[in-house]
Amino acid sequence: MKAHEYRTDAWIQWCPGCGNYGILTALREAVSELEIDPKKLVIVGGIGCSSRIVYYIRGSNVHTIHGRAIPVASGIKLANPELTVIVSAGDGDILGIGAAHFVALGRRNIDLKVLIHDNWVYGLTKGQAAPTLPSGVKLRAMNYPNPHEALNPLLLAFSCGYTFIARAYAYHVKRLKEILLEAIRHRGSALVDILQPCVTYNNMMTKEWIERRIYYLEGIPGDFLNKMTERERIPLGIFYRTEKNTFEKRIEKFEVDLESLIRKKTVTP
Amino acid sequence: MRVDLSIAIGGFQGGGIESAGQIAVRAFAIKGHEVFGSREYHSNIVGAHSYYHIRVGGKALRMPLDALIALDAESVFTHFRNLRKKAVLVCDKGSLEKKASEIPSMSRELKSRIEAAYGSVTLGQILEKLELNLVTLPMAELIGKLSETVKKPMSSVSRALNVMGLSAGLYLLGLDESTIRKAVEKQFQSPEINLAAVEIALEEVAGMERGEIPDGIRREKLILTGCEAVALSKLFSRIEFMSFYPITPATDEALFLEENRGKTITVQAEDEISAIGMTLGASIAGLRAAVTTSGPGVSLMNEMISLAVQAEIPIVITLWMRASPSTGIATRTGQQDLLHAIFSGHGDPFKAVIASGDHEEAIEDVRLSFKLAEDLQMPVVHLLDKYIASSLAAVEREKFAPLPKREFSALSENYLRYMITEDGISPFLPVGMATMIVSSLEHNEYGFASEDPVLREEMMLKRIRKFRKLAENVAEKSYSVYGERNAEMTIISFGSTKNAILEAIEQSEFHTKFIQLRILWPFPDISDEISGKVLCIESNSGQLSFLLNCCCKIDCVARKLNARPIYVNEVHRAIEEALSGRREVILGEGA
Repeated sequence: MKAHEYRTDAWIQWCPGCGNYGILTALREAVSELEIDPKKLVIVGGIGCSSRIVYYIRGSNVHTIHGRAIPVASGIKLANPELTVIVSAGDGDILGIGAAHFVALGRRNIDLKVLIHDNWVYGLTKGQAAPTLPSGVKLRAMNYPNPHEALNPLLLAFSCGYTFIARAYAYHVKRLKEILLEAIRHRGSALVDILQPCVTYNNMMTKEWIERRIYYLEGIPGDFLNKMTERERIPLGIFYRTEKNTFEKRIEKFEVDLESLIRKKTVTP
Repeated sequence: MRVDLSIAIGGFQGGGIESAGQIAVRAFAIKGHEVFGSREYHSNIVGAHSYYHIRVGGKALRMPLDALIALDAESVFTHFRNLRKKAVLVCDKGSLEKKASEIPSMSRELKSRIEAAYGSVTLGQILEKLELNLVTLPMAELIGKLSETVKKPMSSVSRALNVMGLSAGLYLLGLDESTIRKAVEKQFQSPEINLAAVEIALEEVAGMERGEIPDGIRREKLILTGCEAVALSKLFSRIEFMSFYPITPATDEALFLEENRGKTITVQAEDEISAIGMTLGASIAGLRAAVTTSGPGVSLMNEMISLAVQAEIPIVITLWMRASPSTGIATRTGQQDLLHAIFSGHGDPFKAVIASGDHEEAIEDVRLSFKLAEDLQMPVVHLLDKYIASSLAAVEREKFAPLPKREFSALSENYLRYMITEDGISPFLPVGMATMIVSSLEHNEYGFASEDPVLREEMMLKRIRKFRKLAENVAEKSYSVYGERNAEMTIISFGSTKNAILEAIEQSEFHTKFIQLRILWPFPDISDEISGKVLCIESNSGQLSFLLNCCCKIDCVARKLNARPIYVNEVHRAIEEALSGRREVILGEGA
C-alpha cells in the first residue's frame, strides 16, 4: 500500500506549521514501506494534539486517555503479538502523567514503539510547561519561569531498560522515517523522542532554534551516555540498540488441569 | 445430627493461625458437618493478633463463642467476653499470669477497656470470676516433649504449637483423633512433626471431660476461600487475560489465578491504572479479560472505567471491598464501596454492578459478569468483600461451569465499530480484524472524533439504549426473595450479609422476609415485594438505604461500622429493634 493510501478522510486539526504533520507523514511512509496491513496496525494515542494522529492514519487504532496509552497498548500487544503496536503521544502525556507506565514498559521490554511528540509544552491545554522544558524558561503562555528541572527522555529510557533509543526531528521527514523504520523493525520496547516546534505556544524552541542545534550521529555511538546528555548541541539518530528477550517471550504458558485442582481442594471423609 | 458450634482460634500473626483454622474447617467437614471459617487478621506481617472464627452447623457466624482456643494471652484478652457460660477455653498455663498491660502488641484501647472493667489484674484473676470450662496446657513443656519425640531442636518444632492447641481443643469439643489426624494430613505436605504434635496434645487432655460430636452426613466436600472460588470460576469461564496490582484482599485471588493460569496471560502491573489499562487493551484485542482490586484500586481506575463506557470495551472489575475510607483497615471487611462501584467513572458511567452473597453465588456471578460485559460491551463491577475473600466455605462442584469463548465473525469491509442499532449494541470486532478507531472521544459510527450536537445526542441515546437492554437482561436476576410472603417485616440487604440474615429469618419468632439484591445497578424496583416494616441491613453508613429511598420507605437501618462481619444474633437484634420502632441500630459485635 502506498503511503497516501494510509490517509483517512478526517480533517486534520493541527495548527498550520505544527511538527505533528512531519511525524504523520514520516509514519505513513514508514508503515507503507514495511507493507503493514492497516488492519494489523494499531496506533495507540493518549490525549493531546499529537495523540489525534490515531484519526489520521488508517489502522485499527485506539484513542485512550491522558497518560495511559502505554498500558492499553501493552494489553493489546500481549493479547495479539502479531499486531504492530505503536504508541504516539506527547511529552507531557508520556513523561508527565504517564511516567510510571513509560518506566514500566522499559522494564518489560514489550515489543512496543513509543513515539514522543516532544515540543516541551502542553499544547492542547494552551501552553503549560511539559516535563522536558528546562528550568527558568518562560514561554508565551506561562505565568512564571518554569520552576521544574527538565528530565532527559533518552537517559530515563536507558535506565528503564528500553532496548532501542533514538531521537529525531519532525521536520526532517526522511531521516525521521528511517529512524521509525528501524524502531518498528526492532523487537522490543523502542523509544523515538521526536523534537518538534509548537508554533503556537513554544516561542523559544522554534524551528530555527532546533535546527541551529541539531546534528546527526554517525552510526550508533560508543559513548552513547555522553551523547544523550549533550546540551549545547542536540545529536539525533539511534543512540542505543540491544537485543533482549521480550516480555511476550518471558510469559510462561502451560496446561492446567482444573479437575485436579478441584480434587486438591476437596476433603474426603 | 446437626451440631451447632461457634469457635475461635487465636494467636499471633505468623503463628500458623490460618493453618489451624483451615485444619479445623476441614476436620468438621470430614466429620460430615456444615462448616464455615472466617479469617480475621491485622495489616501486619508478624506479631499482631489474628484469629479464625469457625461456625459448625451453619453458613454464617454467630456469637457467643462456644469455644476459644488461645495460643497466647492476647487471644484470651481479646475474646473472653465473647464466650458463653461454660464455654471451652483452651489456653497456655503461662497466660494466666499475664496482665493486659504487659502485652505490647495489644491495642491500648482494648487494654484500657479491660482495665476499666476489671482493674489491673492478671488474666487468671479475670477468668476466676467467669463460669468457663477452662483447660490450661503447659505449652512450653509440650513443645519440649515434641522436640524429644521427633528429635528436632525446640526452635524448629515450636511452630507446631498451633496444631497442638487446636487438636487439644477439637478433641475436647468432641472430635475424634482420626478425624483430627486426617485434617492435619491434608494440610501439610510432610505432616510427621504435626502428627506427633497431635498425639502429644491428645495425651495431655486424655481423660478430661469432653463434648460429643456425632457423625454428620459424610461426603466429599470442595472447600475454598472466596478468592479461590472466584479465581477458579474465572479459569473455568476461560478467562484469557488478568492484570492486577498488589492490594489486600484482591491479591489472594490474583495470585491463585496466576499460579494456576494455564494459558491465561497474567501481568502484575505498576499500578491499578495500568492494571485496568492493560486489561482493557487485551479486551480490545478480543480476549476475555478481568482485573481484580479493592476500593483504593477502583479509585485509581475511575478514569479507565469511564473509557470502557465511552469506547464500549467489555471488562470485568472484581472489587473486593474492605474497611475504608482511604486505607482504613485494609484487612477487615465492609460494604462501603456500593455507591463508589455504581458511580465509578465520570460522566454517565453506564455499567452493571453485581453483588454476591456467598461463595457459590460468587462463582455464578463471575460467569454472569463476563457475559454481561461482553454482550453489552461495557464495564461490569463484581462486588465482593474481604469477609468472603478470606473465608472458607464448602461449595458444590457443579457451580463451576465453562463459558463459550469470545468469538468474532469477520464482517464486511466497511466495519463500523459504533454502528447505531436498535438495542444500542454494535457488532464487536477486535483490533487486528478490521480498520477502526476505538475512541475515548465522542465519535461517529466508525470511531472518528466528532463534536456535532446531533451525532452526540445519537451516541448518548445509543449508550442509554444499551443500558436499558442491560436492565432487561438482568431483570429476572436482580434480586432473590426468601421467607414468608406476608411478613410483618421485610429485610433488605446485599452482599455477604446474606447467610446471617437467612439463618436469622429462619429461626426468628417473627414473620419476616428477606430481599437480597443481586444486581445493584441498574438498581431494581422492589416496591411490589415489600410487606410490613422495612429493615435495611448493611455494613456501611447507609448507602443501600439511600438507594432504596427511590422505591420504598425504610423504617429502620441497621448498620455495622466496626469492620467485622455481621453475625446471626445481630440480625435477630436488628429485627427486634426495628419491630419495636427504632429507626437506627448500630451492630457492633466482634473482636
